[in-house]
Amino acid sequence: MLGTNLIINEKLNRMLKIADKDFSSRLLVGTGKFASIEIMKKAIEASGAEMVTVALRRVDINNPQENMLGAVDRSKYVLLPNTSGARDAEEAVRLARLARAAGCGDWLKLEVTPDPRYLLPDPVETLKAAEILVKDGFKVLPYIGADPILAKHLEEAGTVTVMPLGSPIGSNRGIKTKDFVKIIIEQAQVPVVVDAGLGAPSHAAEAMEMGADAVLVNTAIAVAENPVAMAEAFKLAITAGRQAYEAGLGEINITASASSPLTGFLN
Amino acid sequence: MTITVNSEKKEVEKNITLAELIKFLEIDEIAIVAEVSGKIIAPDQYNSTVIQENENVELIRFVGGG
Repeated sequence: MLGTNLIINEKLNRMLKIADKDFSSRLLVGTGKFASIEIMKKAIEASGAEMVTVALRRVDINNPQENMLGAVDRSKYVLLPNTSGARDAEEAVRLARLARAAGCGDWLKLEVTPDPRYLLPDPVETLKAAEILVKDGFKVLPYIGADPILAKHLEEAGTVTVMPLGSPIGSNRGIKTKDFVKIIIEQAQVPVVVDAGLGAPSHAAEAMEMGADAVLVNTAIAVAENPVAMAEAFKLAITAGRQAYEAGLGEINITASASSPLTGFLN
Repeated sequence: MTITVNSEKKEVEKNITLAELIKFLEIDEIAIVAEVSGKIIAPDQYNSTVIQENENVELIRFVGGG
């Protein structure tokens, strides 16, 4: 029995812990941009993700459509509504409260993006909204630029993660913010989720090798030629990257360091 | 009476409840959330919320997003 408990403990220790929940998967997926709800469901399944994001928008009263929320099995996935569309703290807080009133739970991806060209998150309004929402009982996962000082402020305000971007949303450019994400990873006391701009499984592996706790991917999966296969590719990459991180990556050197012995050469 | 729903003027019967309005608009009630004159109304209050003339109703749903 003691042996089994040790194995269970070890498994739990290797899980992703955010607030009061444990996750086996370190991949969070978004539900936007999929060609169909069917494909979205299959892709989420293939990704192994346990937490998915959704957005809030007006009902089109002239053309009320299928509500996609029914497509996400709440018993399998933690729902993470986002405040996309919010241009300031007030709009973000309003969206958060609407999501909670709809029965979405109190987990929230806080996203305040006033500029539609680059969709970069507003640090001032994000911090403002986070402070209000944490006090209001939300579990806040804030989307931010890779700013280590801002990350600290948010952590101190009580957010349950920090989520620095790799590059602009949907750009597929990878982790352009690598050096600064590394600083956040070094200094954060909450899980760090690299979110936005991850365009290929190799980017996700890179994030995990750096020590990120998780990644959030949407566009790269949804717009792939084969989203279901791509979702699985991301899952594999994240497993590989995390295992590499835990296995302890070797040092990087400028010069060579021979792999084969330096003695006993033939003449 | 006239009310506004998602920025559109609509003619509805007097003393319509939010639940009745949603049904009238043929919207699937599941997982939408509403604001009436800026106040959030949770689904369990749709039946008991009566909409007044000229009030502004926002009906919000969930969509895919990252």
